[in-house]
Amino acid sequence: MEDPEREREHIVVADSDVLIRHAISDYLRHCGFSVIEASHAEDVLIILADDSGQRLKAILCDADLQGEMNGFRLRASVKKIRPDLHVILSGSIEAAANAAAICAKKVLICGALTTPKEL
Amino acid sequence: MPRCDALPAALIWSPALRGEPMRARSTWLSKGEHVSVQKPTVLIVEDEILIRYVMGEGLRDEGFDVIEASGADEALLVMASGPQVDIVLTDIRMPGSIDGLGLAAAVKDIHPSLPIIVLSSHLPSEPVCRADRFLQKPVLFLTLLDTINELIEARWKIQKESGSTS
Repeated sequence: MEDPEREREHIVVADSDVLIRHAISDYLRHCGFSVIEASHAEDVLIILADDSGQRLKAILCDADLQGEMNGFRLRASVKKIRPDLHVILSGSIEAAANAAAICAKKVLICGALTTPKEL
Repeated sequence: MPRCDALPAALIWSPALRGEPMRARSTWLSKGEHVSVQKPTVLIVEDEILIRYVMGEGLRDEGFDVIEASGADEALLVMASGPQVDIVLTDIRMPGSIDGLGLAAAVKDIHPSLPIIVLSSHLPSEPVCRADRFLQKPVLFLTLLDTINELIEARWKIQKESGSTS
């Protein structure tokens, strides 16, 4: 059952894949959230700049977001503007590792960590 | 949050529409022949997130299912992936491999009867021959809604007639 209070809570779903973004957004709307769909990080920052009433409660973001900023970089930018805002990063381990590698100066990517020695 | 007054040149929202819920759905239900029919699905193709959001939320409030695409490439992916779309609303100037006019042509090649509305603040230099309607921004939401309802109703009428004669 939809919670009327929850209807006032806004969530941004940021994903570069339109089909995934639509599926997640539709589900969250069905749960009673107001959802704003963003296809890249710049869109999220536009929404943040327009959120003077601070009705935005969370950002659900693909870690491997396409464009100039991936999910990790977007999270860092968002936290500088709104430290209170929840940012949830999602994605496959491999995609998340690749996205993290882009942000890091030096990184070791392991496909699967099996032993401490390998790490 | 995105507000209507944040969209000066794109879409004029009429707050009075808020008191007229589920216009699209009640239009079909009042005819007594589409009671079990799903809500019409509108594919919005617009790269500016605030315009896309306000337009999408407005149409959802009016009883439509809405799919939001941020460009023509995403729209073609949606069209190829199966969700039934009843009407396409597209901006002209968008980043990507093709613009809104190219999208209209590509969609009409595959789905000749699918209604397409082109919205833009600029009059197109070439005729919008593949689109069913052209609306110049800023557009009243009521005008947009009436145009959508008119085109969907006309399409459903044609589909019903062709179905009954076959």
